[in-house]
Amino acid sequence: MLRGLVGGVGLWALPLTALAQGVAPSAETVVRGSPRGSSELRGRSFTTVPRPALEETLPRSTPDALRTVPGVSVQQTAHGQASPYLRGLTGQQVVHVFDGVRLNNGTWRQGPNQYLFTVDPATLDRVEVVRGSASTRWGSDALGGAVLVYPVEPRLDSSRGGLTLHPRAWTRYGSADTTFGGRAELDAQLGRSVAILVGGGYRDVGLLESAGATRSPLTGRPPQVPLLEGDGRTQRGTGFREGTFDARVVARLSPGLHAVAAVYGYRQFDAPRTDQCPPPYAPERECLVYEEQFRTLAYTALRGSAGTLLPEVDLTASYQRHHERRRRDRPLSSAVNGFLDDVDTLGLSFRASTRRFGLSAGDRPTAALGLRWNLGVDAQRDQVASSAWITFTDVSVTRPYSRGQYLDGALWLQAGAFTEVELDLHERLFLRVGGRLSAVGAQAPGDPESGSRGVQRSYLAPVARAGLEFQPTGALSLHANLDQGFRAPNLDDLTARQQAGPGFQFENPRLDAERSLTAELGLRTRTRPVQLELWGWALALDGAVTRVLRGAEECPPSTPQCLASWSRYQLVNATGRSWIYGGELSLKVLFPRDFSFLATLAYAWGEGPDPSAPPSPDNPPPVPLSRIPPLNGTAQVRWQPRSLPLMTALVFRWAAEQTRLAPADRGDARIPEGGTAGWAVLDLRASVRVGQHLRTNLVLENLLDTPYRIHGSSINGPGRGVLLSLFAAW
Amino acid sequence: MRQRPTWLLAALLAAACETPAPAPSPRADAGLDSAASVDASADQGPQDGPPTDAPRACMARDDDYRLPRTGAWMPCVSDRGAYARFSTSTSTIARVEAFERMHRDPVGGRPLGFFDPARDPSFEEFTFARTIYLEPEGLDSRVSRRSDEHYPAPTVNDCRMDAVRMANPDYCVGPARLLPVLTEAFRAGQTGAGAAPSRVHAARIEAALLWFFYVSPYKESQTCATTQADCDSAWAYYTGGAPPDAPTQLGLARYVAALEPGTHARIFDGLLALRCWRDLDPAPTATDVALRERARAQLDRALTRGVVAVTVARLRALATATGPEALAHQAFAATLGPLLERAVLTSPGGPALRDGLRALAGTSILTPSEARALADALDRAIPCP
Repeated sequence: MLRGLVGGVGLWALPLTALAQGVAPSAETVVRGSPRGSSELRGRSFTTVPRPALEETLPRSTPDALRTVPGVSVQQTAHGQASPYLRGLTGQQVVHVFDGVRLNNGTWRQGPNQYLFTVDPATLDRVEVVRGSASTRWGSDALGGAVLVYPVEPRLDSSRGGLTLHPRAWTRYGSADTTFGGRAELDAQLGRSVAILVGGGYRDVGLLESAGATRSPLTGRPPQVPLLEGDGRTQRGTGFREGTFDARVVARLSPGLHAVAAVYGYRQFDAPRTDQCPPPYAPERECLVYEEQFRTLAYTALRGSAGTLLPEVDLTASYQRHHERRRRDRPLSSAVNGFLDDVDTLGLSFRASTRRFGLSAGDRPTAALGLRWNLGVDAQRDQVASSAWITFTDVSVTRPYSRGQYLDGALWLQAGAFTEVELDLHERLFLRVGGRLSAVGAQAPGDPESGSRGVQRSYLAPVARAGLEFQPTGALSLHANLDQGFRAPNLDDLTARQQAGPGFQFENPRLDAERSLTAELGLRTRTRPVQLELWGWALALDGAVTRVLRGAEECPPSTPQCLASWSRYQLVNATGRSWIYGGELSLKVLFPRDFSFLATLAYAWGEGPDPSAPPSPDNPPPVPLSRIPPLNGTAQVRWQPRSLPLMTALVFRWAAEQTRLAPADRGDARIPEGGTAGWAVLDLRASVRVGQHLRTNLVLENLLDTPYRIHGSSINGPGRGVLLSLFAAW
Repeated sequence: MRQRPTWLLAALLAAACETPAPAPSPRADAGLDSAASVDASADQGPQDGPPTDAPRACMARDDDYRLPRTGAWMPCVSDRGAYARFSTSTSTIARVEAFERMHRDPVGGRPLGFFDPARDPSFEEFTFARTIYLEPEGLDSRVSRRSDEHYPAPTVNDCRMDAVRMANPDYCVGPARLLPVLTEAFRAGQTGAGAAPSRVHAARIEAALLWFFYVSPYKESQTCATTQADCDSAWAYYTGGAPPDAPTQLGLARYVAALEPGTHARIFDGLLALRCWRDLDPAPTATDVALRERARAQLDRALTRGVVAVTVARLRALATATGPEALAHQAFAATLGPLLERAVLTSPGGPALRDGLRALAGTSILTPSEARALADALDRAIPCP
């Protein structure tokens, strides 16, 4: 029997992207496969982007869904890539977790990367952004914070038996990049204990039209990339195709315990890297294309309650494969360079939280005193296959190179155990302390032909955290947190050779781990008319891995590409401490007649030792850190009448100019000469529900058709255009 | 074999006769002496014979930079007699070294001498050489964007763009003229297509790359006005980073030094002139345009003579060679023909000489007398700098 259900409440609840602090929206009677979202967030600076917000903003990608989150700046090296900056750090310096499974692997490169783009936002229930170092909970890489994404769960209602089917479908169109795409999924319940959600999607994305060239704030000249078509708006090196598939099965084993088996696949085809299509100075038809960017994640988990002592447990075993095949087309020379990198990752994790134990004060129990204990162990093993070749297209001859971007057969392993204790010291005072011990190992064979030395490194990293929360009133909380982070050098740092944005970058097998400490103070107030959250923070980064300019004589042996490059870089540990300071503000004010105002503001300022300065007792002046986002914010006026099935919002997004550039930034074609100009754009959003089964969302983006570029990106933001989606559910 | 028209040969000889002879006289400066001592062994230089200017030397112009420095130039960093680099790392050197590796990289036990006109490189050698040529940031990356600043820049001068390249083949010499020659020659060498022996294709590759090394210093000397390190590139595109008196010369310098040590020394003087100008005009954006153009003109005169000397040597070798080797020499000279056309047109008898150069691209081999006549005419048209 087919019974259609529409998640009407869920479609309209809490569509407040940035201000839904600490609130996970509930759509209806949903059994959540993941018990997370509580202990790991309590007391921290975090933002949740719930599913209604994902539906309202129509993000082009999962990173794009974070563009209004305070403290997050979304950089794009390509139209089909995006990398969120958290408190000035990104890529391998931020941990990304999908339903409890780490996405970070041993090949994530320094600087921005595209991997969060490989998570289909249409499959997500919510995204949680945790700002600040967080390695106690998430291990290596959590220097700037954590991006936690959670998929939609199938609906499992134990009060129903038989077969229940909920088909859903939606389609979307975007005018700026002529996007056409859609997704279909089937949510099915089999009996009272098993639910399945199966879906698939496809999207065809064309060239992205901007509002025109952006200009250097210093010279007024446009940056070297991207190359604009004759209309002065359409950006070369954009557009791609993607397909996704997923299946998730949840089985109820007991009232509180569930087994989960899931697979999520992402397939991206022919996605050019915009700053390399063409590269600066190269013929216009030269282009680096990600022919295949595939990610497949499969895992099985046991989640839920293991009795009254352990109400939250999670045992997850995962397998993940990342496949990346790139092609550099050189049509004038009848040549194509090919690259293939595959990473197979096995993961295992166990996490548990106890119930809250009441403590005694003196000889009588005191309800206000309590203790909750969280603990976990996790392990991950990455194996890398990497190769490169050149094909002479006019004669159909292919020749392999001796090595690829990474050393073929390299291994990266990490394992760790953590524990955290939440102490309720008083009914208004809470202390959270914890620690982790991690071990990381890297191993790679040498390649004599390319002068690559083998690698055998290991790292041991203890970290800790402590947080204090004081609630003087029920509506106000004050926070003080100290969190350590670490990042062990991965295979990219230790073995990779690549043409990065600013030049040729080669490996450094002697790198040590980066360590961070975040100190933050926060204020959170929640009253009926006003919700305010304010954080100030400082992040100290020791041994920061940074690019240093190298001379030709320092190139590895047998590496002509290094010798011939205009600029050569090597990753090194900074000799001193780097600092990033900043603050985030989010504000929501409710007005009569269902109007509301929302605003966010974020600022970061970073500097560190000059990696190019020769050793000197005079302490050479520090230099800005690379690609620190400028002052930025959003303001939003919303009208969401309770009596009508519609919503409208006028959204103002802006960023100040960023002229504080790191030495490596100055040679980076993605950054205009002298820095990135400030910008401000206006969007209008609306959504309407039609009947029981249909809903449409509309975004008029960049209403004033303002040319703009997010600092560090290769592409300019979309020009004036329309995003439209139609959603049908039964 | 089809015979060249008699009138053409007569015109060539007439033009050659009309060319005023240079007034060579011994040069007494140390630079010349040191340059003249360059070891021009057959292993390092082209296989075309001994240096042709051994008995003569070239007189510098009064306003040329030379050592010991004359009053025509203010004291500068070049007075020490060595090129003073702005940067310790000059990526250009790797591209010149790549050219050398194409010719004689012994990896895998391959025979030496990819550009040797006396032998036919194998398919594998072409593949190997092409792999080097196409190395990232290597020769191809610069050939495909090289402009020839001897020609006026068009209003839209971005030679990366197809439309600009096709509309301005002389200015966009790299992508419009050199790249098609190189790509086709590699393709032909790898497939064995056509009736020509593979050494002919190798000779075209060799000539096209020497053309690239010839135009590059002139281009870099121009952009050095805003990017000082481009002067280093100008220096490196000719020398490959080797001192002028080093026993082993690289790239175009290897050819010129082996044939005409005096010209080689004059080219190095031109590079010192360039560096001297940038030393005397050190602002981030140079302002002394007159001095810059003096230095560039001095360098260009010497470089042009250097390429002419290389071509003349090959034409003379053509006159004595037969069969596939003669074809290779002619292919070499024919590839450089368009470059030389521009240079000879301003000389007396230029149009006739141009026609002679165009005849090189024909399907038939020049007779020995034709080759000698053309070599002589060319030698006189572009004399010692």
